[in-house]
Amino acid sequence: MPITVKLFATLRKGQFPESATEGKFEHYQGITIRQIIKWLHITEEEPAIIFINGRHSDLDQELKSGDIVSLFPLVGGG
Amino acid sequence: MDKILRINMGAEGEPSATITSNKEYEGLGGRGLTSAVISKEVTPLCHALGEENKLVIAPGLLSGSIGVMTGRLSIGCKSPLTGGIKESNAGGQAAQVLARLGYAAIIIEGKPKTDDLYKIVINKDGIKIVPDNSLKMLGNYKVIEKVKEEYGEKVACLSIGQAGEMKMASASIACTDMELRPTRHAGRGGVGAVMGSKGVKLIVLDDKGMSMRAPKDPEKFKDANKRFAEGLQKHPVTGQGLAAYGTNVLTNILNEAGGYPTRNFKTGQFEGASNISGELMAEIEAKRGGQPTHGCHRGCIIKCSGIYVDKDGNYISKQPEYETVWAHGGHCGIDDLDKIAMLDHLDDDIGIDTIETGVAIGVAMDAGIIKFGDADGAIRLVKEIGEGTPLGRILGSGAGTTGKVFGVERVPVVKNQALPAYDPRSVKGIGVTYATSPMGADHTAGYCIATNILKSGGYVDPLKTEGQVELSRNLQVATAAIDATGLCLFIAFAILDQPETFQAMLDMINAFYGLEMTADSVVKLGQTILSTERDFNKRAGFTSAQDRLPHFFKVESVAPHNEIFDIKDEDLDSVFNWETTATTN
Repeated sequence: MPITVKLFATLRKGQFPESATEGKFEHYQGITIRQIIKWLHITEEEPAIIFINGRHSDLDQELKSGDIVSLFPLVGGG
Repeated sequence: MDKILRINMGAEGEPSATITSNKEYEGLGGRGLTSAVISKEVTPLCHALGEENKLVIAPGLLSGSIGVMTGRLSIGCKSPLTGGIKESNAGGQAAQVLARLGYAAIIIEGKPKTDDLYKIVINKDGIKIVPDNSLKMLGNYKVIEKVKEEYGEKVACLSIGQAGEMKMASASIACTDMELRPTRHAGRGGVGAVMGSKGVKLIVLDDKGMSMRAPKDPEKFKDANKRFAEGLQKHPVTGQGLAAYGTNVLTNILNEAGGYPTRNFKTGQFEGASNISGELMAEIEAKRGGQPTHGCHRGCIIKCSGIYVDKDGNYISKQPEYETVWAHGGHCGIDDLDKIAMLDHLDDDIGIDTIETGVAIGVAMDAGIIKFGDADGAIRLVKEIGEGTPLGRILGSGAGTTGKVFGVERVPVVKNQALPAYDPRSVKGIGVTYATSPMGADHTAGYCIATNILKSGGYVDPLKTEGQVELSRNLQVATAAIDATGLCLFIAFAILDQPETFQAMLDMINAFYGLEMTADSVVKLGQTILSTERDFNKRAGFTSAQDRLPHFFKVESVAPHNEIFDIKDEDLDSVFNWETTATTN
């Protein structure tokens, strides 16, 4: 099972093939979000809200097979 | 703002207007003023559509000044939807114009003896109340077209559509925006029905010849306002995020968090969420020649709204808000933004609350009246509300009535008001606010999403019970105070995170009124407003039994986190703990 990384709002700009919003990472069990965002050229400050499988998490969380990572900048609304 | 305008629609012969000094409610504004008047002057057990109810329209303490973000209007009454006190808050131009005309409030009282429909025109020369039956059963957009012909485009209007005239419990009051479109609504609680019951279709406000309200200390005010504006501009949410994507940026985030109520609160994630997201909406608006960024009133620097156009570039509606996109979208299993924008337009035109309407339709879908996902069916049902067909009248009475009529068990209402766009089982803080706010289920009353989901003002885990009561309490108190100032609630994202911006806001109020308010006095103000509202509700027959979520939230778990709402009843009863402390001391 690949790890799925979804990017939202401003974090999408210039990422993945055009108009795609998520990327799949195969065979990367055990890596952290910190490593993934480095590959994506996202700074550590940018993803203010990080979910793994719908739960708040942080950059150092190790990922396992099938995890869904959702990254958001600081946003608000309501 | 040293005057109060009282309009008695039931006066002998014809409606009368009296201007009095604002001695009685001096120092109050916005929600602080509307709730004080309702609590003091309205019989709590009266019928909301009867002559004893009053409609109070009040700009905030800072409205009409050069202060940024000061254009929020409070409209209060006893609610025909909840049976309790109501403050419904709207943007648009009316608050600024009304404040510049010198009125702290318009209080509409009594009830006409005939079925004539009236318009009220207020300008620097005085007040005219004239019958105008040519407005009967017109939608808000047509009403405003007629206003333009007669009064030009430099006025601000409050009006009701067909739903208000038919006195439906979901009826809103439309406030015009900077382009004189009737798109900003005091939506919640049926305030439009109360305006309709008074026989008032339209209020035209013209501040020609009036000037900005002057602060006690202009230099200090100017400086504080500058610091406040800078604080808003430097915060990522109020400075960039809200302008770029609008409030609907929340669709994706709530969906990812598993807190996006889908198909009448059956699950917490919607497979069509990305099709109705704020990111996509902003892209469509830019591509088609709409506007992804637009402010609802002069002086707004956050500019969270936008203009939504069709494929040919023709105006459909203002950019539908997150709550609207959810109520007509995910809640009904609909994932078509063009159809949702059309529903938003119809809601604004007929004059109905988008949340109550969308939720009622989702409940009707649960009953099998139409199928989940049937966007054209939803459009047809909303049109029926405007036509006043029997089905339309049921839906226009709100989600609670719709659920009763069709025998639905899962009816998401508190105090008979529909829940907004966050599942209280997976975002437990907002569940505390829904349950306990004197307004009924209302996200704005104590927006725990900020801290539960968006990590604004700290972080409290949305899936745990710890800390939620305190979070909701603090936010309900802060919100009541902000709602008194006329400031847009979105400033909260910046003042929660930046102490210097909070101080700048305090300095603005202090410089304007020559006061020395501190953070503690803000808390006191918020507590006083909430206690006033709760006291009215108590006298209207409310007990702690009304401060609860519908039972299904306690027993039906929701995917993906498989959580129930498990905050204890006694903890919900401790939200307003300053009241009990005051009694024991």
